[in-house]
Amino acid sequence: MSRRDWIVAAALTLLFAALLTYGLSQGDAGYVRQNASENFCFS
Amino acid sequence: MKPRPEIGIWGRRFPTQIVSLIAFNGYFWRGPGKWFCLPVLNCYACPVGTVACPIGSLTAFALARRIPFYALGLLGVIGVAVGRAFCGWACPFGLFQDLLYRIRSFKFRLPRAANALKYALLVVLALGLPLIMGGGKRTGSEDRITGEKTGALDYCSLVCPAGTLEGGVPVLAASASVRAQASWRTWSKIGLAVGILGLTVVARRSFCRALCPLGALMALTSRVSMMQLHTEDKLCTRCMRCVKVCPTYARHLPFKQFKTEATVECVMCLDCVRNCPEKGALSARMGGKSFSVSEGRTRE
Repeated sequence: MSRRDWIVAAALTLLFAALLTYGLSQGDAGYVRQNASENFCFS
Repeated sequence: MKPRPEIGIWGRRFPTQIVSLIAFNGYFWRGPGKWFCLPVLNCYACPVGTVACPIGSLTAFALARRIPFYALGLLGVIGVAVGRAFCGWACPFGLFQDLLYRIRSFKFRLPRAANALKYALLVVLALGLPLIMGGGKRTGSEDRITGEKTGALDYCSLVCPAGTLEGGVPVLAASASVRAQASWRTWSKIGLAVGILGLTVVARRSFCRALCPLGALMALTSRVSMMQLHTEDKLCTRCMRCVKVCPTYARHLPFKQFKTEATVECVMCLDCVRNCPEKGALSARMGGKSFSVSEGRTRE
């Protein structure tokens, strides 16, 4: 990997980690679990 | 001496695919993992899913008109780290496709243009229609079975053959009450799943290439993934064996004309590395360091 590739990968990882952390703080994981436990996607 | 005619599913990948099939479909064990999105296509909301399918999660968020920060963040982190490796090594529906392709039959390649269809499915059926039709309301299980209310116009309800195969059909087979509620939509979805499975018999990994919105989502990060293929130009003889064995037809030819070794369709199955007849010519790298190098093994 070139230096540029490392920088891009690191920047994107930080961005996605920030999204993940913010989502967790908003209770997204609980919402996912609630839907995954209740819905029945087979119509 | 000729190169090993290995396709790869009986190699290193097969055991991990079997383990993931058992682990992600909890017919006997549910576990506490429903909150966790992994980039594999297992049924999100069927009772047997042990983890949450990202497509089902994204659809649920679209229905509720919420931005799926958590799911996108988690998938993004995984995508930057390993690209689409989960598609090649862990997705249960990928295993089904690999097995079905072993059936002796007429074979053909889907045209490259078909790859674009999965992006349309992601935008329209997994996100767009649920966002428009859902009206901010979550749909209950009764709605999903009968399909009578809004919110059922989504990928999971209309298309997903993984849900049909791994969740829907077993539930239908086991429960007379569910069978009694089955509508024409139910049977049409089963018919569609049969058609898709039939397509995978003749066209390798055709579902991954053309119809999987999760593959489309993960493909967005695979270009910048830390896991990449690398060809040693001095050792490569341009025999094109890697191109021929690639299940998703992701390898370029000739390689030097492109910035990357493969297209975003690469699922990092490493069949190309295992089948390369030249020792050290092809390798898979993680963060620039090789972790799998072609051994150039041949069979008498």
